[in-house]
Amino acid sequence: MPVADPLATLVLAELEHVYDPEVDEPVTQMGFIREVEIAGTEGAENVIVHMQLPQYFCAPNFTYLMVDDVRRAAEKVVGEGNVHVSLVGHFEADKINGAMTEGSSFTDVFADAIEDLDTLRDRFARKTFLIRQERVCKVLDKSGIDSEKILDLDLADVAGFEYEGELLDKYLSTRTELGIDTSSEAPFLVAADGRPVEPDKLRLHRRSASVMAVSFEGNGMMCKTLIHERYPDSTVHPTAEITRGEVA
Amino acid sequence: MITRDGKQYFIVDGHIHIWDGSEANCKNDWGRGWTQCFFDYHNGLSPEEEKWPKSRFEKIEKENVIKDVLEDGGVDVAIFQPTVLTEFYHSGFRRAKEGVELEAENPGRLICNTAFDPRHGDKGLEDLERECSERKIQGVKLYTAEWQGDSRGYSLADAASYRYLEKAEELGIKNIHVHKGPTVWPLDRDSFDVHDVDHVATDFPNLNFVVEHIGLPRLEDFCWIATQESNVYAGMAVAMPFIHSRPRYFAQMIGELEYWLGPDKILFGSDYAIWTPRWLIEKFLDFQIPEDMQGEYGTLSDEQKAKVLGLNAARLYDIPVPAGVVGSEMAGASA
Repeated sequence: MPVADPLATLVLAELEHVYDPEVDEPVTQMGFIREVEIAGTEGAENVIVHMQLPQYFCAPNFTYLMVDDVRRAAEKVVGEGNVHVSLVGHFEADKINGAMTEGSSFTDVFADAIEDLDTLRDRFARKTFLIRQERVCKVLDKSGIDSEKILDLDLADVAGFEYEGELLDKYLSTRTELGIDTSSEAPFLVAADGRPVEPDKLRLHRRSASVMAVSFEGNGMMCKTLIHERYPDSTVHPTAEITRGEVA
Repeated sequence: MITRDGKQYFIVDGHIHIWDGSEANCKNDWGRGWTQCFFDYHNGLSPEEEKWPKSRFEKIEKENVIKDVLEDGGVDVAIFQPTVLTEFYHSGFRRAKEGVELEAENPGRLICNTAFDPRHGDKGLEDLERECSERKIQGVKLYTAEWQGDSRGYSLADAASYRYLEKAEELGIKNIHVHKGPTVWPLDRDSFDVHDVDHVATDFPNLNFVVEHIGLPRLEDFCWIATQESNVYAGMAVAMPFIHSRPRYFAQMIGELEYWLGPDKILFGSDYAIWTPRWLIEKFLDFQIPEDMQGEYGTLSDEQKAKVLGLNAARLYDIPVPAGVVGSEMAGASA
């Protein structure tokens, strides 16, 4: 078992913040990071992030998006231009790996795609927002808050409850990302566009968010099941050893 | 027929295959990738005792279908949903000739749907007409993300698709099964996008649209559309096996479907040979929504289960339901 390299550990910690947008879980937890390999020479290291996915046919748009996010996250640690992402076992691996090296955009590489990644990313960020908001609602339900009362709560009220893990922080960060008011007097329950939910739409709003959460959860389980079958030996820890004194 | 607690259930498996995904039939790595992916689904979600070696899995023979589905499977009627994939396999993934032969050799027990591709133009329409003149065809399986030359997919809302759906209706094909599950290309917003079903379901009110794999991984979009359109149905293939590995998750899924679509629009499918039907059916009959989730989802009655397992598909395919089975009085039993 190779000793974890400190730089690889730092890179991996940064990758914890890269999420699979269809699942709302970090790519590290999904098993998509096979290895963080450190190459180059001491003081001039570069990083090779080896990635793997659950299916040979995973959709190229989400694949590109995550690979690109991984590259950016790793660059935060080792600097721009010092990260190489190597995706394996995917029908468009060559195209996507090449795009990372050459700095080509998704629509450069996949010219017939009609939706750019910003639109896709925004759509899924809004779904994620609704799901996280619904998870907060479920905590409020359990705390005995009357369902109709939820509409009267502002963010300061909501902050007074206890949440598992970083649920509330994650919820608020998506709110910020989407430009929805996060001041303490801002209403808590809002639609994906930030507008208030009408009382007669409350039930529909919550049921829609609920089925969205079920869908995301299902995606996650399916992906984890398949990646486990595909790569039972999957390495998701920073096991690389630095190649001292060698030029990559 | 499967008996549980002294009650008989009539079983229609709405989604089975006879395929050749063997190395000899693979044209390229895409074919190999496809077969392997199916095999990963099989291994990932089957109970240990139901797992097969790859040699048994990759090519299905006629006698396997008879034994696994009709004899051991407890299935009364099963419907083939062909996946063509001629860009991946020399003779295509589905074994077309064998499927038609099985239907002829097992009248009333096996139904072989056909497939069409709107990108085939006039020739495809002529083929469809000819096929319908040779045997009765009630359903068709469409795979909107299938590769065809340089094309990586199509939309049901395309003008070409409309021509084909009009022809299908004229020829008496009334059940349109649409594969929207795990697929291949980011065209048209999102390869999993189910919104094109919304358009055609409105414009073809006499056709039934069965969205296979319940629109996963876009269950929410699918539920929304199915709520708006009375002729949109949920095909449970691929969603079923979660009943074994993740029963609480399965409860959420079936609970959401019952809530959004109601009990009459959910169709059982094993997706044989990815999974064999018997264990799925038995686990479903033994299944109940866990108590702590019943506040949100309620419970599943025997009648609801009977509808999912057979009566709903029987209605779509005019399959006679024998008297005495659970729900037969609702289904207008034949004898």
